[in-house]
Amino acid sequence: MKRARELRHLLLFWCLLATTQMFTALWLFSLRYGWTLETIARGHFGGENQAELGWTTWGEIATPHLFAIGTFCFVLAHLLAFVAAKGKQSLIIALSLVISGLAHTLSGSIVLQFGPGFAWVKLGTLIWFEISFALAAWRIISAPQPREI
Amino acid sequence: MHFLIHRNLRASPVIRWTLAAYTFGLALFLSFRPWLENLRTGITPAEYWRAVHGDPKMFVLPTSAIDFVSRIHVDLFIDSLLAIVLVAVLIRLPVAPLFRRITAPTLLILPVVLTVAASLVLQGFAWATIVRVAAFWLLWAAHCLVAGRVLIYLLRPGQT
Repeated sequence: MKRARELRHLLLFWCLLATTQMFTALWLFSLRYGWTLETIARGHFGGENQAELGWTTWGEIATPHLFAIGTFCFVLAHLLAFVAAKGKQSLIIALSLVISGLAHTLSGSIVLQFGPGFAWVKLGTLIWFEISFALAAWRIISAPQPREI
Repeated sequence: MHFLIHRNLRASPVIRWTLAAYTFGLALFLSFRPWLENLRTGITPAEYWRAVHGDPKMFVLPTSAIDFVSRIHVDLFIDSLLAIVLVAVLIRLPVAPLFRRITAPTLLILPVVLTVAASLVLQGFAWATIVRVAAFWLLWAAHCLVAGRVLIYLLRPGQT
C-alpha cells in the first residue's frame, strides 16, 4: 500500500514534468508561428520582418522531433500500460498520441508543399496532440492504483 | 524497456551489463554537463543573467527568446528522459527507502523548477537566476548520486 502510494506520487510528478514540457512546446510555437492561420502561414513562407521557414530548416526541426516525440509517446504509453485497468481506452489514447505526434511533426511539410491554405493542418494536429497528451496524463494520474507488471 | 520491469536487475548478465554500460555512458554525459553549461551560459547566477540578457560593457549579445525557449525545451526533454530511466531503475534497486524517497521525486521535480526559474529569468526577474543555477547544480548532484548508486549495485561482484 505504501509502495503503491509512492509510485502514484512518482507518476504524478512525471506527468507534471511532461506538462511543463508541453507548455514549453506551446510557448515555442507561439514565438515561432503565433496562433492565427495567417501568422502560421507567414511563419512558413516568410513576410514582413520574417524569414521563410524553408525545407532545410523544416528538416532540421522535424528530424530530432521524430525521435523526441516518438520517445515521449512511448514513455507515456508505457506508463498508461503500467496503470490502466481498461485496456481498449488506453490503446486508443496511446495510438492517438503517437499518430497525432507524427502528424504534427510532418504537418510543416504539408504546409510547405501545398501552400498557406494548409496552415490549419499545423494548428489542428497540434491541438489533437495536446488533447491526446492531456487525456493520457489524466488517465495516468487518475488511475486508482498503479500495478506492477 | 523490458529490463526495467525486472525486479532483480542483476539476475540476467545481459540486463546487468547492458544497464552498467548505459549507466557508464550516463556518467560520461554527467561529467561533460557542467563543462557544457559553462560554455553556454556560465555557472554562476551573474554569468547566467549576462548570457540571457546580454551585457554591452562586455560585448555580450542577449539571447533571442526563440533560441532561449528552444534550449530550455530541449534541456527539459533530456532531463525528463533521464528522470524516467533513473527512477524506473531506482524503484527496483535495494536501496534505503529514505534514499529512494528523496532522490526519486527530486529527479522529477527539479527539472520543472529549473525550467520555471529560467522562464522567469527571461521575463526579467533577476532573483530567479539564483533559483535556476541552484536547481541546475542540485539536479546534477542528484543525477550523479543515483547513477553512482546504480553503478555500485551493478558492478558489485556476485551473481545476484
